[in-house]
Amino acid sequence: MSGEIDLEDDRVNMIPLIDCMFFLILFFMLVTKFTPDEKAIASLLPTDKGQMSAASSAKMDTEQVNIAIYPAGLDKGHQPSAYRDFVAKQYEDGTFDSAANLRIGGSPAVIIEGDPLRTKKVSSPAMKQQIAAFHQYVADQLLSREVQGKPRKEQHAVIISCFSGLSWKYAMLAYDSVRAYEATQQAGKINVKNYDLMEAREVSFSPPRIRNYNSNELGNELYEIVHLR
Amino acid sequence: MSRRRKPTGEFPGDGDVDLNPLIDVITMLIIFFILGGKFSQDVRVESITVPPTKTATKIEPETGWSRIVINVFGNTQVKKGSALMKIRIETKEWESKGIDDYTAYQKLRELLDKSYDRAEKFPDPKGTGMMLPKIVLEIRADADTQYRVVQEVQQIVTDSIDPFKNMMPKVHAGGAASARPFVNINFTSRIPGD
Repeated sequence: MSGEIDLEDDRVNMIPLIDCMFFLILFFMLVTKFTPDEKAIASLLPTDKGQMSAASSAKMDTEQVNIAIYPAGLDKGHQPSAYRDFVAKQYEDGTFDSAANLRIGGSPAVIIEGDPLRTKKVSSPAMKQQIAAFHQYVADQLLSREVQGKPRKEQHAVIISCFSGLSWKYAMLAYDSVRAYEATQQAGKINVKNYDLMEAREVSFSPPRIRNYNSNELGNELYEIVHLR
Repeated sequence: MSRRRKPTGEFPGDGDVDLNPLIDVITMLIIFFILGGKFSQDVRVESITVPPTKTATKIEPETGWSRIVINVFGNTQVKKGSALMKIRIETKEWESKGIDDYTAYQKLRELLDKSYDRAEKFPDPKGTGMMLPKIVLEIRADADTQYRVVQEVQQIVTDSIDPFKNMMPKVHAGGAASARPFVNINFTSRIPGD
């Protein structure tokens, strides 16, 4: 009899321990996020061009390749006030920034949808398709503007002009496409170190043309970008 | 018979089943989840979704170079006139409550000035006379940040705009050599399918 009681007293009750363990597991399962490492695109900002000085530069240098990014649905030939009204309406019904036109020089624009590019999902077919479509377009266009016989850094500079109110993802897509094309021209070498970029073609972002969202300035900026050659 | 007691109603789960392996498995799972979540070295902000690109690569700073990550938040869909923008570097965070509120840019420039002064510098290989610091800046902007904001950050960083003077072009009293520009910029993005 006393032997049995000793056995009972020595037995540790395991169930609360297991409950605590389950609690901890649940906590860590909910809290842990498996995020992949973020990568980056290296760039070297030009020090010897207008970028370093004036805030806005409206130079239409024929020696450069312009990539214009503006809200989808805008086309050439309207007054600045018409563009301003179009965008104001989009702000109101919340469709602003949902799609953008990206255009190189004088060729027809490609429409890029915004939502696939901002999805938090790790990847989606729509996102890959958007990116592939634009990469193809830029590659074709840049190939047709290639200056034969010159090294990469003497090719025409690429300036990306994006409307100030549009989001960053469109401009990054344009930048990425130019870099991808340059990688094909350099036998697949993608510049990863900042000093390698000394030998690379110049690709830069045009500074925003307006500082205040005065409604007239918005229209003027759009007019200028839509009509970039 | 006295050793093997039948399980009673008071301890329903604690019968004659050996629980030790179960506890071992659970401990393994806990350790897996503790170690599996990545604790990165920088203070990464989880609420930024960077835009997707295909040419992004893992870039490690060169020897002798250091890196500063500038996190930029901002929303495009805000109504005009209330352009909210937020910049965070490590644990310091600055907000702009309106399009004419330059305090975030001012604080950013102050921090960059201090980092520039502390850093090792080398002359600009393009011969402009500017001294460039051995610091790589990483602009980690959310995909929905306004282009305007990202560009303004870029202009502040290259010291071509003065946030203390209403964002007018910066006048460098001592010429190019007195500027404090950062020209090595990385733009954070993710590869689709990563």
